[in-house]
Amino acid sequence: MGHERLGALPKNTKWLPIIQSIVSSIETEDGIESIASETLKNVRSRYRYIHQDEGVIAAYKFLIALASSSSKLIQQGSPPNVQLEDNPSVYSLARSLKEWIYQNQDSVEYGEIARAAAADTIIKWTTEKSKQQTIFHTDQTAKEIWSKASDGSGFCEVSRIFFTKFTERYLKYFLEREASSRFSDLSSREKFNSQLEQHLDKISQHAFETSKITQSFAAGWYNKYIKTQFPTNKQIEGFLKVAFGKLQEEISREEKS
Amino acid sequence: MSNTGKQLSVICNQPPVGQLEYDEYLTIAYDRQDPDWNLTIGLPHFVSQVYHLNNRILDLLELSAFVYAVDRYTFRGSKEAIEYHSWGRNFDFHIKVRDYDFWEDKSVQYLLQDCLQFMTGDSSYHFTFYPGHSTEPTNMFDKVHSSIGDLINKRDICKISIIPFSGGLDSLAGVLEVLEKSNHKVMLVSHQSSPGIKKTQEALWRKLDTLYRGRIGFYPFQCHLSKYRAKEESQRTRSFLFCSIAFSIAQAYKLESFSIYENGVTSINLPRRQDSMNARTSRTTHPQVVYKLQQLFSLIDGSDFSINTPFINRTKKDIFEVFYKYNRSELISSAVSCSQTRNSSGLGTHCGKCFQCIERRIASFASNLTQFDHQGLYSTEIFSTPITDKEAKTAAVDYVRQAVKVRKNNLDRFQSDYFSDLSEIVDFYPGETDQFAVVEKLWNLMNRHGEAVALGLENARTEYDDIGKPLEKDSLLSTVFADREHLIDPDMRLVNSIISILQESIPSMFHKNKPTDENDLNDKIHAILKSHYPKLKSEHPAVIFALAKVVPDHELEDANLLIEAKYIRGSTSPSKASSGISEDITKYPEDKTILFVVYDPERSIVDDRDFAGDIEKKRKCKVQVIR
Repeated sequence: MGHERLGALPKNTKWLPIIQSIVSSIETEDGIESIASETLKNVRSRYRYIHQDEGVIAAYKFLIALASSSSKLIQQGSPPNVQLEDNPSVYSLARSLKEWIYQNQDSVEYGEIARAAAADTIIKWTTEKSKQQTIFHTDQTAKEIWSKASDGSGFCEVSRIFFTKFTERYLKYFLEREASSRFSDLSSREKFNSQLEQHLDKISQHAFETSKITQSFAAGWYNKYIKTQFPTNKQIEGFLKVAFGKLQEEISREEKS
Repeated sequence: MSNTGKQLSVICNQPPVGQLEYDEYLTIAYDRQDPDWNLTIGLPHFVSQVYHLNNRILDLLELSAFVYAVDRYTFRGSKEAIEYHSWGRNFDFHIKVRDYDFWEDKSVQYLLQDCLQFMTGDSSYHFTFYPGHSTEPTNMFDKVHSSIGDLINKRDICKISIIPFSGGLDSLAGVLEVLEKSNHKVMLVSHQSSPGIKKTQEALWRKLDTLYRGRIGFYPFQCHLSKYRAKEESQRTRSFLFCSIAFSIAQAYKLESFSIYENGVTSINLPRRQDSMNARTSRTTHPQVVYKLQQLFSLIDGSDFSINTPFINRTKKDIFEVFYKYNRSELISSAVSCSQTRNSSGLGTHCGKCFQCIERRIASFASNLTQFDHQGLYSTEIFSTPITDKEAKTAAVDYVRQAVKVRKNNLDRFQSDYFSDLSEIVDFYPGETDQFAVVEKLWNLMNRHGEAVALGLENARTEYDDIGKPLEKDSLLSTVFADREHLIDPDMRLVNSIISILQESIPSMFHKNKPTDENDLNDKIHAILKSHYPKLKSEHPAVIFALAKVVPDHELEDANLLIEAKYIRGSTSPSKASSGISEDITKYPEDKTILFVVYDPERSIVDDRDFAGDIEKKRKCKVQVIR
């Protein structure tokens, strides 16, 4: 029984240096960059192929459906049925997302991380695009809020949030197993999480904005594939590969610089 | 890479199986005459207590016992796996049943699968049912329309409450509340899987029976693996078994409901770490689980069946206060909440380190009932002594972290932090259909929980903290009340971080081949630390002191820290090392902090504390012996 099953990282030469540097990572300027980079390096063979996972593809496909819900697209394959006409709440959207991923997922682990990252994207986008910046008593309908994602730059931002949140949750999936037993005080433990979140946000900003490559790629991809018809799984997989690859590259680059 | 857990076909009650979904299969048998016997179910005794249960209920009891047995039998992977793909298992059950037409119904099967998947975080459950199962009557009254409910008049039936009873604090508080607030009789329903649980439940039942004479019934259901040792401890399907037992007793009494008493914070169990997704924080009484079981039981019952959760808006502190309110605090010490009783020792009935123990300990301080929930019940004291067990520290720190955070956060922040998890609750919360109203209720609950945890820790500090002494490092109080951390010199914080790195690396690095000499040791220390501290200088960094250049082994630029390494072996005795350190102490500037790393693989230093203490008194430095 037990209310929670606690995990740990393997105690081998690949992971031990990461475990050992958790505490010191918050004390130096490049500590968090280094730990994020090293962690991703340890799982690179998995992260590199994450774009192929059915659950990850399904989660992103759901966001495409939301972003393109105001367009009349030619349907290919079987895209998620997102109905914004009834003005669903963010929770109803999250429930539809869950059901959609549940029907399509492969690994329950990746599926769950992808679901949570897509849910984070839904709430973040809704909060930011709502005039009152709150989910409670928003003055805009779901359709109005998601119509703001139906162009190249809106879609690019939705994508950026998703990839940031996915990567953040994926890194925490490993690091949080050890972090709380390592720090000697709560404030340092909190600092660790907030520094990691800030770092990944900065990284993804760079990957999607400062470095125009991904932004124009995302916008171009949107204009090419989503303006007229719903993209196929193969096309989505191709986009995910580039975006995750770009993020991985940025995370590694941060460490080197 | 494999992204899916174990795939296992399971054969129960000897069905005429054809093609199995998976290559590996397991036969589950509870008939002791069967050569494959591997499961003990106390079904005949259980049925005879209520005279009769109908075929569909008997099928449900067997089915839930089979699911529980396979859950216990099938390992969900190592806690140290890189990714937890083994956690989500795939089961393909083949079960011969009595009421085939009912179980064959697709809507029944869908509910069963859906509920189990959410409850357990497993990948898939698939059921194939076969007709033709039967068992002998258990007693002379075991026939249609002769269950215990048929023998009681309808007015009296309304005054009966069915309560799943684990022997823990929450269910005991629920029983007390019903007994004190109404004139109901209470039927305790239990799953017994071990002698320890049996002993706790029976002792409490006897106590309650003495206090509330004639108002307590007790229906234990024995179910555990036999012949095989359980490979999996998580037991996420136990609530399916527990609720099926309670539903069976409700059916026998012709009742349309039973009540689960568990505090709301534990029921919703918001995850405290990313890796605890997919039901690794348990969903035993999660509103969605309760809702889905209610739907399944309604189909089995053929009418609306309710599972009530009266404590859904209460915290653990509120649970303690039930005992105080009804002047029954003396019962607290007899209730066992610990999930790892095997780790308790001495007179303690609780390990003191698992999540449940931590939750209970803090709540007892918050409610000022520690004279009843006293330290003697716990094998480990976490507040003022170092928590050396890594899992225990993670559980304790994350429990407090979450509570402290929700206490500070406003409603919007609470929603964004737990949005994904809240979306699993909002449509299933009892008695409330407005999603945002549910979220507000949950936020209020978690806020009260945060306040209670803060109060519990404050009260524990009053009890354990001696202001004249430092708090023990790595105790829960020192971790939480780190206000004094700011008094620690930043250089010493850095020293502590470096020590923790070296303490883990050096023993494993030199496990087989010891360093050839002190220079070799310094090279290795440099290699270890350089990856963590890029500004480390080790190749003859010179420090100017009294117009002369002195050369420490390592220097951390911008940090005012020097590191000296000493290697004690053969010809280098501890006294030689200490005189070397004494020299170093005088030759470096006073404003520098020095860390002396003393590698003593042969354990030549008899008393580390004495060795270090004498040196540390002389100036701002730290001596760390490593083996």
